[in-house]
Amino acid sequence: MGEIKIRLSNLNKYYNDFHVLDNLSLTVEKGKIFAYLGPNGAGKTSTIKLLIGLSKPSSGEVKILDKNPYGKKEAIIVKEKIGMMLDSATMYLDLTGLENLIYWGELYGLSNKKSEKIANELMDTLKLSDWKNSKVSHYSHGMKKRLAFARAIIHNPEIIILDEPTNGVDFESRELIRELIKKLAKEGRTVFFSSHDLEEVQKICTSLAIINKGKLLFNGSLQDLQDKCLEKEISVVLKDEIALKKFLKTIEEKTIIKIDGNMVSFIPTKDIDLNQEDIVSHWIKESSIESLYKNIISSNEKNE
Amino acid sequence: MITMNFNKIKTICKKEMKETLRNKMYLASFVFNFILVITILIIMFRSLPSEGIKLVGNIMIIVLPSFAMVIISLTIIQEKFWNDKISFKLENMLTLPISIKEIWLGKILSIIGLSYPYSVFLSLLLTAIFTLNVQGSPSLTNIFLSIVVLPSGIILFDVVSSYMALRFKSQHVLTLVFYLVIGLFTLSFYKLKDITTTIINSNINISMIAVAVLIAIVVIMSIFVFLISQLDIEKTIEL
Repeated sequence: MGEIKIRLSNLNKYYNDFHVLDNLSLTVEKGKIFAYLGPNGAGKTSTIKLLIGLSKPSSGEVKILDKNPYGKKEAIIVKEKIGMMLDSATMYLDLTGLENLIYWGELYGLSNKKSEKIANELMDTLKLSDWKNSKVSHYSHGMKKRLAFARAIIHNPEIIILDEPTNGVDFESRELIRELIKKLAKEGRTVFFSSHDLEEVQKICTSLAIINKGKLLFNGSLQDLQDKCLEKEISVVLKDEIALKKFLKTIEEKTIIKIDGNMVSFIPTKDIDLNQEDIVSHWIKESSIESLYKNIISSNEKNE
Repeated sequence: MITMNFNKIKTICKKEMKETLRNKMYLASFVFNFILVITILIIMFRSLPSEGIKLVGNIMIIVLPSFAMVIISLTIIQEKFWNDKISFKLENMLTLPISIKEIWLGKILSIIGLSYPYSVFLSLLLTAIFTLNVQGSPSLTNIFLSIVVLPSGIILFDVVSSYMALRFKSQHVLTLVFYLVIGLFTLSFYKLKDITTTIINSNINISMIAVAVLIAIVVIMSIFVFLISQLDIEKTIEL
């Protein structure tokens, strides 16, 4: 196990009576690209706000680089080493793209000259050079997101926290941001990003967690999730309800994905005779991460 | 002990001023304000007898520049505190290694930097117009009140309003403060004749008042820096 950069321990968060995060525990190691997946309203942004000290936990602990992100002195030390891109990353529209970056760099403690140098380099990398001296009010949504990403990394942070970095963004911007995330991880930085885009997760992350309604449903490497996908899903149509009930007794309940009329889909854990006279038809499907993700979320909602 | 990074405060102040001066709406409000003041002056000079002009002119020199400063300050406070809160700019700034009191100081200094020179300019302009049109120039005391004392009160108003914009969730709090100040100005306008006469007839040590005003500003701002440092960040950015 590598050096742990982010640690959440038994985290609970309430907004009035609403239990937003329920006993959340996870760790993120150095150099990992960690994806934090979940549907809208799952608690992703709430978790991120706790990570960066914009919010305090109701109980439990958050440690970034072994420090408390909301202790008055420690918060400043933590924030110097992290780069942040909130989903609500807003720019100063009356300033140019370059001025926005230089301003942020100076607030991170860089000198004006150094900020300007790095800002120029980042704008070139993110293909915003032609727009350097244009006011941000003239930028498209994708360009603003790229600029916000540049703003998050201008001071060369150890940890980069991104809240839905490619949300609502054009293909070119998405690819640029993803490539830069991979490059940063290769350099040993730790990237923590939230998303509900599975394609993105599959393309860049090394480990991930799935959250729904404040509960952690999966936490492991992408490989662990992909291994689960090697399991085949079998769908069987039985001739009538009696045959269905008889068939259900022969398989483990926890392997059942869904029952629809006389059809049952499941992941078999032992050999099943698919040639029985009660079975009208059957088909075999390779699990995909999408179906696995959907199953994880929907199982959680069923258990609620 | 209050520890602050003055470079970051300066960076914020410079950026806020640059942003304001580029915004056409703000420039328009300065121009509109100026036209309003000149219009009031023209009406005054055309409608009042010469004795009336002298007294009303003195009152105008004391009150009008600060009144203009209030109008401009409140517009900018609305934009720099309240609008930054609702557009999540404040939330984004709080992800940086910077405290809320440093953010507040940078913004409030920019507001003073934008509104106070305008107030001084108006004071000097009104003094010049008064001197050219009326026999005898306004007293040093009046000019001192206009350039130092009343603007100090407006600075404190800026400090209180900006604190309220951070502390409270409702925008109506700022509106209430604004109407309170307008009410006080209107009241003082009626009473100012008596106040000005009293001041003119008494022996005031201007340097003592200047020192007292400076100490008051420093003390009150320090109190508010402390109050702001005690704000809960989560509640401050909550809408």
